[in-house]
Amino acid sequence: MSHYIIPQMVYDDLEVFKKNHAEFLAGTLDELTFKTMRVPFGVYEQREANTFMVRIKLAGGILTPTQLLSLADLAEKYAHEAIHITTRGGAQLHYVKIEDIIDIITTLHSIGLSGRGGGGNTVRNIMADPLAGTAPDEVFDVSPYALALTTKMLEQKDSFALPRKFKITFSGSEADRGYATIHDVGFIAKIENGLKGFKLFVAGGMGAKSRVGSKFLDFVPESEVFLYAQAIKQVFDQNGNRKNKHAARLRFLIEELGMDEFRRLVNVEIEALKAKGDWEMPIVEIERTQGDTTHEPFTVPENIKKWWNRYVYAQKQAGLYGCKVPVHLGDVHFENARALANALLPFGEDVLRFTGDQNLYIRNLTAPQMASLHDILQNFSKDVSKPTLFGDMVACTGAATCQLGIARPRGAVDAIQKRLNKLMDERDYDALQGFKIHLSGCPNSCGKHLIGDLGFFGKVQRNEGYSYPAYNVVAGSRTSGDGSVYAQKAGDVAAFHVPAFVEEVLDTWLLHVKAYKSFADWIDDGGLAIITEISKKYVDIPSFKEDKNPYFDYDAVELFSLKGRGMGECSAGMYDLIEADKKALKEVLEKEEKDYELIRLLSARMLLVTRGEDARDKAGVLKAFKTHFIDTTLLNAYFGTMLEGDADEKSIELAEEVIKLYDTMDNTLKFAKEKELAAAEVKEEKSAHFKDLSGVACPMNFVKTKMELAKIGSGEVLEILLDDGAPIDNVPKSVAGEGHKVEATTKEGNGWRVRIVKK
Amino acid sequence: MKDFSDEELERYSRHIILQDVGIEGQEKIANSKILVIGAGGLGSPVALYLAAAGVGEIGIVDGDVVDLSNLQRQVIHATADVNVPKVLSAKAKMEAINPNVKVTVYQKFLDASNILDIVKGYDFVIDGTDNFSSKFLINDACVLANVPYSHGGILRFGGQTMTIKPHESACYACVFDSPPPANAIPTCSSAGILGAVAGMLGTIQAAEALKYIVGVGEPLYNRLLTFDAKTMNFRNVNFKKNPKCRVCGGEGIKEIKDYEAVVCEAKL
Repeated sequence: MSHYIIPQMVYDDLEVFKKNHAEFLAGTLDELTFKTMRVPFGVYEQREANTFMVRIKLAGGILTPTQLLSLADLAEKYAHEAIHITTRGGAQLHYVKIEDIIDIITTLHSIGLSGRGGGGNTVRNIMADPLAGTAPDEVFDVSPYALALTTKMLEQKDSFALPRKFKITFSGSEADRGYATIHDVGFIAKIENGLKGFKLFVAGGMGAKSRVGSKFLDFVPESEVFLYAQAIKQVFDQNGNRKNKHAARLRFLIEELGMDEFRRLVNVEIEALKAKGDWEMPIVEIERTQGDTTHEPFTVPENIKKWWNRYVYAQKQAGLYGCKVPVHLGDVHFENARALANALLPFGEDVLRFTGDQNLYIRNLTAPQMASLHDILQNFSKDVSKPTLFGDMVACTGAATCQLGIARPRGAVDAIQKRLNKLMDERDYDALQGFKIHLSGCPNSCGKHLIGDLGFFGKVQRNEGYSYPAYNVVAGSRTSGDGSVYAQKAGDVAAFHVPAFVEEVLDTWLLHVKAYKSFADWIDDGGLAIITEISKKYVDIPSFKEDKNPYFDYDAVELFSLKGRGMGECSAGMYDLIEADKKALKEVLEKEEKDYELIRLLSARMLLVTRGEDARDKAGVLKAFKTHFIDTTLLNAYFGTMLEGDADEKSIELAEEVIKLYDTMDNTLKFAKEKELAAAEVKEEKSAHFKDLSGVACPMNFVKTKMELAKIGSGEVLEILLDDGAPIDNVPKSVAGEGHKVEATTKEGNGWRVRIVKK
Repeated sequence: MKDFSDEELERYSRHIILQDVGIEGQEKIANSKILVIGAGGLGSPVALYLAAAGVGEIGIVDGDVVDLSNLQRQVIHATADVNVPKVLSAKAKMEAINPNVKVTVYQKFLDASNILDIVKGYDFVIDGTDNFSSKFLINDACVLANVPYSHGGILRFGGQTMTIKPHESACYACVFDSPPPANAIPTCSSAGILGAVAGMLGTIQAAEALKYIVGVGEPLYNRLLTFDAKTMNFRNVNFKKNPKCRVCGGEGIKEIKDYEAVVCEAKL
């Protein structure tokens, strides 16, 4: 047993999704509704429009060589030839075309993998200690718990419509290699009175308002793992903040309620779950490899000794070895994946893990078996022949593909490695075994900067009015079951200078490395101040006139800017809420006996979430509905008369009207009528000059825009109509490039209305 | 402001798109008056580019007729134009390129008696002449009339040019004082000229004129640009205005006199 079980519900949902997918391709289903369907399947849109990625759950990072072989096939066929290992030890296929999504999901299901809950406000991939089942220091193997809990969580409907994402992990020992102390729910293996169980941490997290987890219980028996995880999830589901997704993670709820109240609520849920039954979680041990474990004396050949010392470790099982394979930025080319999978096939099922440090681990091999992989692994990634420092660098995808990204940390990693490569022969980087450099493109901690030895997260700096990419520097994290500590702020550096800065920090640390037990110890003992001093040399850049290079991020062809940053896909959770009410509303409308009261309530509640309201009782809902939809004239005052007294058959009209209104809502949660109202208001406010340039091609539309701008005074407003395609792609950019302010771009008919304020 | 027609907006669109030109710059071009002295090797490209650019009014001066030996470099004239007055041949081509441009022709050679009156009415002058006495005469007239101009000269594979803003930047006489003695310098008839070199230098002069009109960039003030087409090396030689310059310094000149004519026997 080495994978989780996909529940029937997921297969059923796929059938619905297939239908929606076909409708979307045919143009009969709108993008918004489709988005609410695809995100829970782990299908996200990349920053580049109409390009998607599929996130795949790998509980505990566990996958078999056979599964790896299938992923390699999918990568070759659909995904720009690469399998991407995520920072949760899952897998991602990037640059996928929307037409291919169903084929991919179907293939994944056939090999026992699912993307369900990969994204959106769901229970995310459940992780485990990368060395689980092999680590000499572990209390017991936690992998089966990650698999079993994944199976259980996939069966729960409420796992997919939470206020925000929900992350669970398992660690096998106090070293907390699974990072239990920084998860929403983290379990650390423990044996008490001869019973297997876990120390339970809650409400840790690295994103905005990062927080180290609090110990919730000293011992949870193994049989109650699901019980506790589910109870905590239910408390989160019922009380979490759905209004503001930036303050929605479990850690915010606990700050708000206080730990005592939270505990009380969890206990109430536990009693309820116990009463309901079906809370046991069957544990199936993972079968050990059939591999030959007899003790043949083995001498590591001289030519692979360096690699062996760096990456191979002796497992707790005598005679068996594990090995870390550093993967550059988590990207595995399909050919390498295929070669490795084929080589591993004869050695059994449990020989492979993807891990949260975006690497790959091999396990349960004898020394000769391990040695036989050396050559394959050398082709696998250029980091394999280098000190661990190189392969241990972590970076999120950053602004290259993420809509929230500010900087491009993957490019920065390439630049750092290029620089360190040149120094490798002169510096003893092997003395820094295990040193972690982590980079995130923005304050959201997808690159795990807070748990790096040296961490970076993207920010914007300005020099003489020009923006340039830069990073906050943090340093000295500690992870332990006794309490983890995040890396502390150490300074700021320009993205351009990151490689030089890293070089100098490492050189300085090399001078001290022998005197300290860990980098964090040095940081606490004066190292932080030294790094801060170093960073000061690397924050300023030459003026834009002198040198434009620092104003470009790594691998970027355009000048650095925040253009294209979106609101991210996470808001899809809100659409789930609306969809749920809409579905319920349609169900009651279809019933023979109409419940007018319920129809009125659902109609009034359905769209309240778009206005940031989460009124719970009937009176509150009706009142908020009146304020936001009747008083604002979004709906005719006639519908206001239905809100008082008992509901009657007119409620059906109200329901129809609300559903119609929802159909006109766009990505920014604005209704068509709202935009008209706003536009009318603007016209009254400031009579804009206007030129219809629809039907005028590039560059004449720009020429004519300049002509119109020349006629008006500074600060005056010009509105133009442009065609879709090249005109809307180019003209606003060119206008802004000349220093005018492009205030708004709104879709109008088949084209666009662009509002310009003359400089 | 000028209301450009759609035809004009489209014709000048590549200028207007330029951030440093724009509608405002194109309007300046349309309102400008530029005099081209000489419809030969230099005057040909200058007149063509200025007409194409939409310069409102272009004056062109030349007393000669088109000769078969001109056609190797004077690209504004065609084979059928041989024996036609150069200014008429040039005007026809300029109007064919851009009917929006007004072309005034002066079918005569300039001398001390007429130059000042003609130069006075223009915003910028192009020296496209082939002899030293004309070049000094043009310098004197432009300084006296306070009209900026572009000096240009070519020989064999080389060329030189500078832009002069009278009383502000060095003038031609600040740099060279006075014409060389007759026959000290080889003339075109004895030395020859690579046709394309005329195009290169004339095109630089046209660009200088447009830069000045639009008010963008740095004109070739106080520096002489020289190039050698054989090596394609370009060089800037910096000069300063000479406070004791015979023409623009201290007292300066008060009136126009003809210089001793050293006219190139071959027609440049």
